[in-house]
Order: sequence, then structure tokens, then C-alpha cells
Amino acid sequence: MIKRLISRLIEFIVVLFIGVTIIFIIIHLAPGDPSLQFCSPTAPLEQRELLMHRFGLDQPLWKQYTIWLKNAVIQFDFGISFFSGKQVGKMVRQALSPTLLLTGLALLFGILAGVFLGIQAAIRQNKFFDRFVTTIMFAFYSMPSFWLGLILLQIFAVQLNWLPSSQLVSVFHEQFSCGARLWDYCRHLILPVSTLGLIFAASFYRYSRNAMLTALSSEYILAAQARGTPRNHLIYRYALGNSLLPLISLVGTSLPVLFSGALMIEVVFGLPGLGRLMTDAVLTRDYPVIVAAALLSFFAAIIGNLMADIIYLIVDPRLRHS
Amino acid sequence: MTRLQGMRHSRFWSNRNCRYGTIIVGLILLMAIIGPLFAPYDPTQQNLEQILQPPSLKHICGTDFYGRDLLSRLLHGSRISLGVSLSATFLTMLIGIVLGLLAGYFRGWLDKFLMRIVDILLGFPRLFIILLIVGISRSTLLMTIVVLAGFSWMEIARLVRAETRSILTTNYLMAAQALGLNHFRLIIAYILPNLRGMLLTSTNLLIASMLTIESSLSFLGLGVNEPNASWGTLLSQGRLDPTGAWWVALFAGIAIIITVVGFNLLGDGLNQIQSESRT
Amino acid sequence: MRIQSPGLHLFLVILGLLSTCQQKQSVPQTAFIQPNQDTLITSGGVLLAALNAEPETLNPLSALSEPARQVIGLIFLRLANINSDLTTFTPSLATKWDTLPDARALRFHLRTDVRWQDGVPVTARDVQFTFRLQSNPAYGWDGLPFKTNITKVAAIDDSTVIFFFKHPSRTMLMDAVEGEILPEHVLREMTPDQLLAADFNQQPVGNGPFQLVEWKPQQTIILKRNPDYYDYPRPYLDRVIFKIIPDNANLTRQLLSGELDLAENLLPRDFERLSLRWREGKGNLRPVSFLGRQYDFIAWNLVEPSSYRSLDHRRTDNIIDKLRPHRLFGSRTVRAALTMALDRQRIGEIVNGELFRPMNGPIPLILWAYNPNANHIWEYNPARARQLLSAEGWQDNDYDGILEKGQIKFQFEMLTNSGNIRRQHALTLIQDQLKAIGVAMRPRLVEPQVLIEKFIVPREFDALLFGWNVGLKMELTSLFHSSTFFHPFHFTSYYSTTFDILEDRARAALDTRLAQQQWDKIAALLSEELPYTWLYYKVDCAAIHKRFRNVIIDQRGVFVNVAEWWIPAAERLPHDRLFLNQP
Repeated sequence: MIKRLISRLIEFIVVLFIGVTIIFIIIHLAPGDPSLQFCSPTAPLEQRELLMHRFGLDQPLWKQYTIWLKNAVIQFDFGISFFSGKQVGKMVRQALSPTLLLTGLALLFGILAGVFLGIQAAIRQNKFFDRFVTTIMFAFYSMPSFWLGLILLQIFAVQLNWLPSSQLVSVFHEQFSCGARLWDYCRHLILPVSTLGLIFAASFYRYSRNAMLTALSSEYILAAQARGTPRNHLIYRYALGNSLLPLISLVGTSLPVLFSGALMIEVVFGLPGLGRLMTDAVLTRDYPVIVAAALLSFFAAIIGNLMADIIYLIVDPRLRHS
Repeated sequence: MTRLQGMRHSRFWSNRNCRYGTIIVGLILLMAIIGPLFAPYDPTQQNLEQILQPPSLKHICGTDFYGRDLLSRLLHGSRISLGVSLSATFLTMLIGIVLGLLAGYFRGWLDKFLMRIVDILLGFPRLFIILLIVGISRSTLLMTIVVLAGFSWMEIARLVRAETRSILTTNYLMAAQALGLNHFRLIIAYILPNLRGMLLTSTNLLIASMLTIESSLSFLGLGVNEPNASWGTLLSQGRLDPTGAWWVALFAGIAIIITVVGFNLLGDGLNQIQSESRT
Repeated sequence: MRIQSPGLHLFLVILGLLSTCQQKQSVPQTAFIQPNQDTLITSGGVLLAALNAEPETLNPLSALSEPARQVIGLIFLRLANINSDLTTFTPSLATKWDTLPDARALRFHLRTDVRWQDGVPVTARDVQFTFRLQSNPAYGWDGLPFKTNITKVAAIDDSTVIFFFKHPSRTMLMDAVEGEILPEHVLREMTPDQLLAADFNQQPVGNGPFQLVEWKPQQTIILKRNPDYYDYPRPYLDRVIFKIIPDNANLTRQLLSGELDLAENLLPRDFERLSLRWREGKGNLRPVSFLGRQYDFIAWNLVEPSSYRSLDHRRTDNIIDKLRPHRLFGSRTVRAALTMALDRQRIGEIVNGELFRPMNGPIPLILWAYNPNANHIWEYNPARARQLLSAEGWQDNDYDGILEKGQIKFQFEMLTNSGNIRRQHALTLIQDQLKAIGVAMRPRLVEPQVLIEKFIVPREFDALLFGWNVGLKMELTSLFHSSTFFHPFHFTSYYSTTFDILEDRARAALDTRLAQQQWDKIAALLSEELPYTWLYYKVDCAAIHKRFRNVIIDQRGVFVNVAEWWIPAAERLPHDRLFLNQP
């Protein structure tokens, strides 16, 4: 099992390496000139050449790449942003925390609400509760996220004016007492988290309801039922345990969402985060930031996969011996 | 629960999800095919005297920023939206099935190689690619379809690969292999038919998700060009003015949701029938 | 983004207070709210203002974007600030100035009571040092053209500094005072490379009315009042908080919900809705509109891109013989027909919600040389446009709705930069109107950088919908004069010896009346020849909370005199009291 994990790990590192290399090449070859951010097109050619030299873009691509790789691997240094002159590592970290907060809470909400409702609906199959919740969840599942966000905004921020329409915290956040600060965070996060969370919940709902239904109709449950096992015991011990397995891989594969940033939610709700960082970086051709953000995106996908693998190995004894 | 294999048709119809799904999808397809004939106005005809009119008897869904009739645009847009989703799904299935079969059937280095590509693509920052494409090239329908398919085929390939591997271990296939059939015939005649149910389900789910993703791509600027519109572009145009002209985004949003629900219902229903027939 | 301001590259010093458009509706005029009585002025309060993008830096030397300049303007002082009367300046860091006898030197007397926020006094040496950085191309300051006439800056003592010029000119004062003064003691040792990544860019050491407290990326920039500001008791406000809001819908939502006090660049529809509310006595936001600094136009490529590609850029003789006219727009009649096919009044109205002025010629409305009667005006007349095209041989012989001449179809691509909603709207309207006369135009949006690099500089386009920001100095050299033929902004490849002669004369003229005559001839010439089809001149829309007093908003922007703004104690909002007793 350890051997299997290690070989998976090596494969992942190779994937990471190739992926980042591809991104590096694409962005450097794509049209768009970072120096145009800093001088008007009318500026003398020498000024642009000076900028290119300063960014290290006057060197051949392979050399830029090896320099970048060396710094990134050895010193964990991803360079300095062309646009803002800040350390890229720091910029990505700064953008990561609001993104993790948003997507983490949304994912948590999605899993809890989705799985709970899914189980409840499965138990009450074809009753009113099941039909009602299933219909609603189907609607959420079918909505583009930004559209749902706009509707929630229109209702709760504009019409009712209960909640703020954007930003992560109020501008007077620092002036508040401790409890008020927490409340401030909550108020600002309710709408974006529920937008994203409802859409996550809808997919978890579908999966867990289906899995639960399958489990409930499986033969060993029927047998247990025949044996007269109490219904609650039946549901939460046997059926639930079995239906959770496919859910774990679903959770694992949704982990990259945590890092990729939810650009549309960020734009609609005016939140800071990785999505906006990436968008701004692409628009300004800020190569170091793009590459670092891409690296994070690869990394997240791989970690998600790896974690799903590990959890599977732990949970499913059949795999342990294979 | 019934095990009467011969009664497939009636089983399909007696499944509630399938039934409603088919009705909705049928109506939507009908709308896409003949709807434009009933469009009250030319969908690209600007009428600068009738800008941003709220829904009324004259314009049931209101008019947009250029005074174009939104109902007509919605009806014509259904062709584009469904066309894009269906072609993207087709392309996705094609790539996914072929590569999945190759990986699952031949295993070895080909399998490893293809699965690493899948891994790389799954981790690929999509936002980056989309923004780059939008910024650099002329955004066309073909481009939208390619992007949609390029980011979706990996899931299908994985599914097909896993299924293929499990079919390969069945006695039934081992027997076929023993007959000495060539790879091609084996795949076509023995493996593919066994994938049919799974593929049918994922096709429907894919079409549904393509519609939602297409609207998100429009949000980022990748999609149809003016004066034409898909539902996605109508939706993102409405975003510009949510407090004023709410109707621009509303009807397109509803259209998308209904269609997506339809295809999802169908996909779910098929999935249920399939899992029932297994037990 | 920055594409909107490459303009005549003097876009910092913007002149003039002009009232707003005299359109049908009563658009509120420039806000100029006097205090009731000087004795009533109270300190305290918070301004919540919107920025439409994240500033790239707060270093005056490397800032290019409008948001960055706006914040910097509150943190750093200049020698003098331009007035709304187009020509004069008000003392700021300099108390007074005089011209030395040979008319080629300006002497500034500086204040002695101004300190950098770290306590070091501001002296003439800082001014001298600032010029050294500004005039060194390696630092990449984009106001460099202002300084080309200056040979030397010498600090005589702590409070006296002299600017020496190559030759006398009318713009000596403007050239000298351009740009914020930088702290020598902080930046002395920095090489251009070091400055690029210096802490100074994020934590500027300024001397202006406000100081940076905190900068949260993608969220807020918080400024507090400078307790040592020389002009005590100004500034009156405790805090200026900039919220970074790139999304227009979001901006409007925050304005309506009271999360913002001040926003500019409002979309016309939102502005109209605000104005309506204000007129009905509802809402606290006073709408303010003012003649902006931007105009949009269609540029026609007058030569075939392929012939430009094969041109030797070092040889400037006989250019015109080596170029082939553009297959469509090489003909002036065609350009005239296309101009007449466009209902530019309607396009302006729809795109700008009546907040615009028609523009018919090359001279910006806010500059002194503007004379509306000098331009040739092409009235909207699609029927006449069709006639003109048909006379040129463009006819629809195969009845497909598109004109053709021989094998050539009348179809082309019109480019504009992405991220500008007005231009996107205009493009869609133009497409429809051209279709009506049988011309197939395909709109295409391109990212700003790519547009410049791949299309504008190599002139690989047919038609371009674009805009300029207006600078102070009256000149059209870089757009149309043959001496700048290979200049990136000369992208129409317009070439006219008549124009060259007229423009040379106009710029050389010392007598205003004589210069005006030349500019009138130029306006007539260009509006006849139509290298551009001018579309509209933009009116800017802003809104500000009514509790602020003594606010001046005009072409110079919305942050002209923030140090003078104050809030009556009775009108304070709860958050205005948050910082009352804090330093």
C-alpha cells in the first residue's frame, strides 16, 4: 500500500512538472507584452527594452525557464510580480485566504446540507418532503452560479437591504469589537457562501440520495430488515456506511475547487481571491503571478486526487491488499 | 424492481424522471426546431424607439438594450445554445470514448500515458486558458465548442476506462477473447454495447452541464458574436443592468434552468433504470 | 484600463471648468457647494470613495493608471496645482514663482513648513532630486515629454529652486510643476531596478493632506488625515477610504445601499436613475455630471495593411508612393458615405444616455482652439450614403444584401478593446446601421494589450473603434502629421502636405488669433477628409453624498480639493464619528 502511494506520488510530481512547464511556455509565447503596462506604446524603444531586461524577458525562453525553476524549487521563490513589484508568493498567499474561506465554508455547507437532506429524502422516498426537496435541489443544480448570486443579491442586498452586497469585511472592520468583527464577517459571507454552497449542496444531494436509495434497496439491508433490525440502526449503521464510500471520492475530486477560486462569485460579490488574481494577471500579462497561480491549481487537483486515493485505501479494505 | 427485460419501453415511460425529462426535452427541442418560425420579430432587428421595454403584450419578454425583441432572441438563441451543447457533448463523448477505450483495453504504457494527460488537463487552470483565448483570438462558436469539449472529455474517458477494465474481467469477454477475435471487433461488438447504458446517462448529464458552462463562458466573453445571441450571452448581457432591466437576464435564466432540468431528469431516470436492471 | 488613456500623452494636466451639456433634460451642473459660513466648518468624518481598479503602485514615478493617480494625488504634493481656468496655477508646495531676466529660467520659492510624514522637512533638494529621477528614462516616468525643454534644476538654498529651459515657451510653468515631488532621503540610493520592487511603492512616504494607513489588495485603501499637514486645520476629513470595485453592477448596488459616498464613471442608465431619485427628493446622492476628457471615434485604415507591412520604416521619403490605398477606405467618398450612414446622434444618445456632446472634427471640446463652426458636418442620410457608394461602383448585384464591386465584397472587421461597455454597445449599433446600407461589418473585441501590439502598431486592421484622452497642449502632430508617420498613434496612415503646413504654422504661431485661424482650417480639412469618423465626446457621471460641503468637481476630476471637504456636525453619519478622537 505504501509502495502504491509512493508510485502515485511520483506520477503526480511528474504531472505537476509537465503541467507547469506547459503553462510557462504558453504564457510566454502568447501575444501581449508585459512592458506595455509600464510605458505607453509611444515610448522610445530603449525604454521598452530596458523593461524587458528588468523582467528578464530579453533572455531565451529556456534560460528564463531554468532560472525560474531553480528559484522555485530550491528557494521556493516564485519571483516578483511585474505589475505590482510584490513578492508573488506573498500575493498568492494573500489571495488564497479569502478564497479558502469562501470555498471552504461553501463546500462544508454543501456537504453537510446536501448529505443530510439526501439521506432524509431517501428515507422518505416519494413522500412530499422528498419530492419538494428534490425539485428545489434540481433547480439549484441547473443554475449558473453567477445567476443565482445575482438573484440572491437583488433580493437580500438591494430590495431588503439586510446584507451588504460586496467585499469581505466592512471598511470599518478594524474599529469593531471582537464579537462585532465576527458578525461582520458572517454578514459579508452569508450571500456568497450560500450561493456557492447551494450549488455544491445540490450535487451532493443528488449523489447521497441516489447512493442511499441504492443501499436501502440492496439485499443485505433487506435481509437485515427481515431479521427485524431497528429501522434507525439499519439506516445509520448499515446503509449510511455503505453509501458514504462513493461520496468520499466526490469530496476528493471537489477539493480543487477550494483553490481554483470561484471567479464568478468573486466578481459578482466583489470579493478578493485567486480568481481575480488570475484574471488580473492574465490581463496584465504578469507572467510570474500566472505561473504561480497555475502551479497552485495543479497542486490542488493533485492533492485532491491523492487524498481521494488515500481515503479510499483506508476506507475500502478490498483495495488494501490489491 | 421489475426484471422483465423485454418491457424496456414501458419501464422507461413508467419511470417518473424519464417521463418528465422526455416531455421537457421534447418540448425544448421542438422549440429549437420550429420556435424561430413563430418568433414575432426579427431577432437582430434593432428598434431604437423601443429600448429596454419591460415585458408587455407587444413584447412578451421585453426588449433589450438595442430594442430587439427578447422573445425572438430567446427562440433563435435556443438553436444556438442547444446546438453548442449538443455538438460539444458529441465531441466530448467522441474523444472520451475513444481514449477511454484505448486506455482501458490496451493498458500498459498507452494507459499510463493517456491517464497522465487526463491528470494534467484536470489540473489545468481553465480560467487562464479561457481568458487567453478570449483576449487573443476571435471568439467563435467553434472555439466555444472546442473549449467546452476540451475541458470535459477527461471525466468520460475515466469512466469508459474503468468500465472497460471491469468488462474485460468478465467471463463473457474472456470467452470472446478466446475465440481469437481481433481487437477492433472485440471492442465494437462486445465492449461498446455494454457501455451503452452508462454512456446514455452521461450524455444527458453532459448536455445539461454544457448549457450551464456555456453561460459561464459567455460571462467571461467567450461565445456567440453580435448580433446573434445564445441564452448564455443573453444572461450575461442582463448582468450589466440587474437593478433596472431585470427581464433581460430573467427569461434566459429560466430557459436555461428548464432545459438543464429536463436533461438532468432524463439522465437520472436512465441511470435508475440501468441500476435497477442490474440488481 | 490603461488603453483609455494613451491619448495625446499629456493627459495629466487637464484643464478647464466647463458646464455640462445643454441637452434636453436638465442634467445637474458641476457641483460647487459653498460652506454656509466659514466659522461653522467642523473637522471629522469619513469619505467612502470607489476606485474602478486596483492601483498598480502608489509611487508617483511609476503610476500610470487613473486609480493610482487619484490616490497619489491625496498623498503627495506638487509645486503648484492647475486651476479650473485653463491657464493659471495655485501655489501648493511653492508659495510663489518668477521668471528670471533671460526668460529661460523659472525661480520657485518653497514653503518651509512642509514635512514628509516621517518628519524630515521638504526642501529644494527634493525638487532637484525629483527632476533627476523624472528626466532619467530608465525610471520610465510617463510625464517625461513635459521635461524635455528643461535643461537643469538647481537648488539655491533649502527654499529656493531654479528651473532652466532650452528655449522660452508659453508652457514653461506647466512643464516645471508637472509631477509630484518625491522624498530624496527615502529614494536617494535606489537604482531603477530596486525602485521597481521597493517598499515605497506600497508604503509611500508622502507630504500631502492624507497618509496611507492600510492597503488590502483587491479590497480597500485606507488613508488618514496627515496630522502635520502644513495647511492646518485642513484636511477636515479623518479618513478617506477607497473601495476597489471593478464591477459596474456592484458599484451601483453599493451606491444605492449607502456603502459608498462618491463614485465616478457611472453607467448612463444608473446615473439617470440616480438623477431621477435626486430630483424627487429621495436619496442622499447628488448626481454630478461634467464634460469629460474622452472622445470616441472610428479610425479608418487608409492604406492596405500589406503595403504598409512591406514598407521600410527608416526611409521617410516618398512614403505615399509606396503605399496602396485601402481597398475600401482608401476612397474619401466611401468614408463620407459610411459617416453619413451612421446616426451618430442616436449612437451617442444610446451609448451615453444623453450625456455626451456631438463631435465632428479633430479638436477636443475643452481646448481653446475648439470652434464648432469650423468643422464640416456630415448629416445622417443613409439614402445619400447609398447613392455615393453606388456612384463609386459599390452595388448589390447578387441580392445578398451586401454591396460588391467586381469580386470585392463590402465587408470588413471593426476592432475595439474589450472591457469598455460603451464601445461594445456602439459597435453593435454601428453594425446594424451599416447593414442597412448593405455594408457587412463584423465587430471584434480584443484585449487592450493585444490590440496595440498585434493590430495598432503594425496597422493590421481595417477599421478601429477607439478613444483618446485629451491633453492640455493643443497639437495633432502625433496623430496626423507626416513627421510622425511611423508613430504608433498615426495608425490611419493619414498623409497630407496641406495638413503638415497648416499644423506647423498653427503650433508656431505666437498670436492666438492667428493660431485660431490655422486650427479652424485644420478642423475643416480633417472633417472633410475623414481619416476618423468622430462619434461623440463623453460627459462624465459621478455621484457624491450630499453631506459633504465645499466640493469642487470638474474636468480635473472628482478629487480636486478633498482636503477642503467637510461635513456639518448635524449631518454626520454614525461612521463619521468613529475616528473623531483619533489622531
